[in-house]
Amino acid sequence: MQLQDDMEHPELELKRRRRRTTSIIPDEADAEKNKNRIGTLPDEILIDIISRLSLYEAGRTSVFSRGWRDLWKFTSGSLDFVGDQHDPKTVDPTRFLTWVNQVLELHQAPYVDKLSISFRSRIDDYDDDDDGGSPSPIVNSIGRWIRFVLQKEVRVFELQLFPGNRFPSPDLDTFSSLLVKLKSLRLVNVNIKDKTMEHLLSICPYLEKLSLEGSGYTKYLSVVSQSLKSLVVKHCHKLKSLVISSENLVSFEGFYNRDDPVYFDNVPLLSELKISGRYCESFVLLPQHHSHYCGQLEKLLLLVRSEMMYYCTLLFRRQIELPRLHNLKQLELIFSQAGESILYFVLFTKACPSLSTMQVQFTDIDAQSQEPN
Amino acid sequence: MASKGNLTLKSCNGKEFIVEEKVAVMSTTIKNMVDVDDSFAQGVIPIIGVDGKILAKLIEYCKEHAEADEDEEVKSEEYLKKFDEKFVDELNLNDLYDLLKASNYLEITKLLNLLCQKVASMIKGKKPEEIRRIFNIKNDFTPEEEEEINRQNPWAF
Repeated sequence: MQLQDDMEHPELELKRRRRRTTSIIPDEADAEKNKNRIGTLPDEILIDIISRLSLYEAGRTSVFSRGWRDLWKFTSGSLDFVGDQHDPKTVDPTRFLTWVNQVLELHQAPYVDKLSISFRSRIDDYDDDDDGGSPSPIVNSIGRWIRFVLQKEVRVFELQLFPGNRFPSPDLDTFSSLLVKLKSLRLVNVNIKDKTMEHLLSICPYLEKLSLEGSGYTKYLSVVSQSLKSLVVKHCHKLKSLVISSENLVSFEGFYNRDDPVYFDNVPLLSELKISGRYCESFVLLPQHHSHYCGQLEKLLLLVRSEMMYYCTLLFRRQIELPRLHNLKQLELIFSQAGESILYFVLFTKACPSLSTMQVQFTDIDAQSQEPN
Repeated sequence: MASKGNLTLKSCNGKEFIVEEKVAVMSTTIKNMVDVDDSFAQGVIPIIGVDGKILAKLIEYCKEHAEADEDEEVKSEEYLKKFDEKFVDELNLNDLYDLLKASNYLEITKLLNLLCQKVASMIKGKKPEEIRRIFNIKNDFTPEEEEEINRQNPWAF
C-alpha cells in the first residue's frame, strides 16, 4: 500500500501518514506483513530520526527506497559539509562548492540547528592581488550562506576555509536583518575586515559564542556585545589591538603575538582565560598590566612556549612581582619542555590562595602556536 | 473508577491500567485532555491505537521518569540513563515502531527522543544495503530510477 501511494504522489510535500490507527500486534507467522514497517511511521518521526544523523548519513537515506527519497531534505539537525579525503567531491573545491549550494537549495525544513561548512583543500585559482579578477566563488557564496542562516533560523554557524588563503573579506554590510537565533559563530581562516566583523556582531543580538581564528584582515577589533559568553580570537597574526566590552563574557581564549593587545572594558563576569604567545608572556612578566581583571579569574590556562620559559627562569631567580589571582581555582600549564622555569610556577601558585586543582602537561606546543608573519 | 490522584487508561484492546496522575501526565496529550475536561480525570481515558502491551511499556517508562523528576536522590541521572539504555535495548523492531508511534501521538517527548536516537544509532555507520536489511526496507526503485538517483544524487557514489 505504502509503496503504491508513493508512486502516485511523488511530490515533495510532507504527507502525514495515518494509515493504521490501530497498532498491529506482530504475528510471527506472517513475516510478510511486517515488511517495511519502518515505512509506516509518520514522516515526522522519520524526519526526527534523520535529523539526528550527520548530513552524509541523512543524505544517504535517500537511496533506501522511494518513500525515503526526499525525507532527508527536511532534516532540521545539522548540515555539516565537512571535507573527506576519500570523497572526491570534497577534494575538488568547485565540486565541493556546487555540492554545498545544491544541498542548501534542496533543503526544505523551515529550521536548521547547525550549518557547518569546512573547505579543506586549497583553491589556487584566485588571487586578490589581481584587482581585475572576479571575486572568488566562495566569497560570493558567504553572503548566500548568511542568508540561509537568517532564513532557517540557524543556531550554530561554522565556516572554515583552508589556512593561508588570500580571499578578500566578504561584504556583509548589506545585511540589516537581525540574526536572532544565532547563538554560536565560528569563522576559521575567513579574512574578515574589522568593520564587517563589528557589523556582524551588531546584527547577532543573542550570540553567545564567537570564535574568530586565522583572519588575516583583523587588525583593530572592537568586540562589543551584551550577549557574548565565550570569545576566542586566535592566530589573527595582523591583530594590533583588541578591545572587549561584553558584560556577560565568561571565558576568553587568545593566542597571538602582541605584547598587550587586549583591553578588557566592562567584563564583570570574566572568569576563564586561556592564553598563549606574547599575551601569555605579558600576563606573567607584566602582571601590573593585567591587574584590572586578573583578580576575578577562576580558571587559567597558560601555554608556555620554550622562549618564554627562559624568561620564567630569570623571574624565578629574581623573584619579582607575581600576578594576583585571589580567586583562581584551576590552573593548567602546558609546557613545550621541562626546565627550571617550572620552578617559577611553583612560586606562581603562592599568588593563588584559592587554588584547588593544578594540571601540568608537556607537549610540543611551539609547532602549534607558531604563526606566519 | 480510579481513586483521587489516579487516572484510568484504557488500551485499544480493552485493557485498563490505573496509574498515578503524575505518571500519566508525562504525556502532553493526556495532560491536555485532563486539563481541558475534568471528566477525563474521573472516568476512563481511551488511548486510541495503542494496545495493552505497548501501553504497559509506556507506563513502565513514564513511571520511572515521573519518580525521578520527583525525587532525584532515589533515581539519579545515572540510574535513569541505565534504565533508558536497558529499556530500548530490550525492544524488538515491532515494539520499537509501535512505541515510536504511540509516544509521538501521546507526546511523550523524552521517550520519543530516546527512541528516535535509538533508530538513528542503528543507521549510523552502516551501508544503505545493510540498513535496508535491518529495517526490512524494500528497494522499490526501478533500474532507471536507480541510475538517475546515482547520477543526480550527490550522496550515492
